[in-house]
Amino acid sequence: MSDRDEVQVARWSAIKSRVGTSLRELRLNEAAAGVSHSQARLAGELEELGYHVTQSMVSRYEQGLLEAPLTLERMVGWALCCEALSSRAFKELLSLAGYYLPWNKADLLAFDDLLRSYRRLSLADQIVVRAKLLWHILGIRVEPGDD
Amino acid sequence: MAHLVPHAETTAANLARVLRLHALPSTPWEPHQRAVAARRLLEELGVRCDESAALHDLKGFLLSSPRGTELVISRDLNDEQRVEVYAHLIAHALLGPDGPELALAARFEYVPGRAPGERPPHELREEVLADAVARAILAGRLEAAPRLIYCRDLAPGRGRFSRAVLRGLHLGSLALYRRSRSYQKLRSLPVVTAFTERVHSFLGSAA
Repeated sequence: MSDRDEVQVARWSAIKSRVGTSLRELRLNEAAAGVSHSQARLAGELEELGYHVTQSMVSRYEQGLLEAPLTLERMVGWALCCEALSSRAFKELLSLAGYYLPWNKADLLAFDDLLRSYRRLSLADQIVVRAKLLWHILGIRVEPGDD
Repeated sequence: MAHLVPHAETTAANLARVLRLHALPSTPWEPHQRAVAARRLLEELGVRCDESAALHDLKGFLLSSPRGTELVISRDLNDEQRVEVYAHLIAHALLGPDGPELALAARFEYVPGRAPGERPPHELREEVLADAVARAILAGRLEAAPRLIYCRDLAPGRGRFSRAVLRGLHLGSLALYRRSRSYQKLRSLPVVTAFTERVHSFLGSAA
């Protein structure tokens, strides 16, 4: 294992439990709000986004059991699939992963507005918007078939 | 930080000019050529255009961030519809917030009858206004909309008084335009447009 990989794995080991808890809360809060979003559906939506994350992986990531680091773009894609996502939760999740989102209060309010408009879209449209949001938030372009 | 569209006023003016040129009887362009010209112009002005999206309830959308501005259009639209969506989204950019620029902003353009029922009032108000401004762009006559929409910086004026009168007239026109569809129609008449241009030239030209 290269030095870089070792650092990445060590870093992931330190945060995987907290990241898993945050992601699980995003999914479960949404279930509490009356919207059903199973691990299987989440896995399917991540697949649509171009990320191969199986239902079992979703479960193990949420429990902080998976050793393979969850990349930043998968984390953002995952969060965007959750109806309970808010700008505050998003910023906290990214900061947990070591990514500072340079957004001020107005930006956070605008992002909440954007999320509200985005959630009113059909799933097909949400999938297209999600892929574009990944670029605008992280600078990562999702091409069909990427994984 | 990002504007909805970089240099929205210039972009809208150029788009209107291109569409006007392409509507001249001497050079009757096909819808496809108009759509290609509109897209090319937007891309030259720094707006990324993607016409390949598989959208369902949306005709297109605009996303803007410090990484750039992107117009995403449904692949199912024909040439005329594509031009309409471009004009509509550019109209939204003109009407965009005056306040602090945002890190991430979006505008959605719905297929008629598929817009969500519970949209906030400010969104619906902007939509009505964007309809009128988009019509002006598509007709190649941006001046058919109130000047403050596409040119927020008024001329210096002949003096303090004439500048105040000019500003008052433009603000009044904009307020009426926002509230009244009848005024939108009236304001778009060539004779009214010509009259307002003359008044603006008279009051707005420096002494």
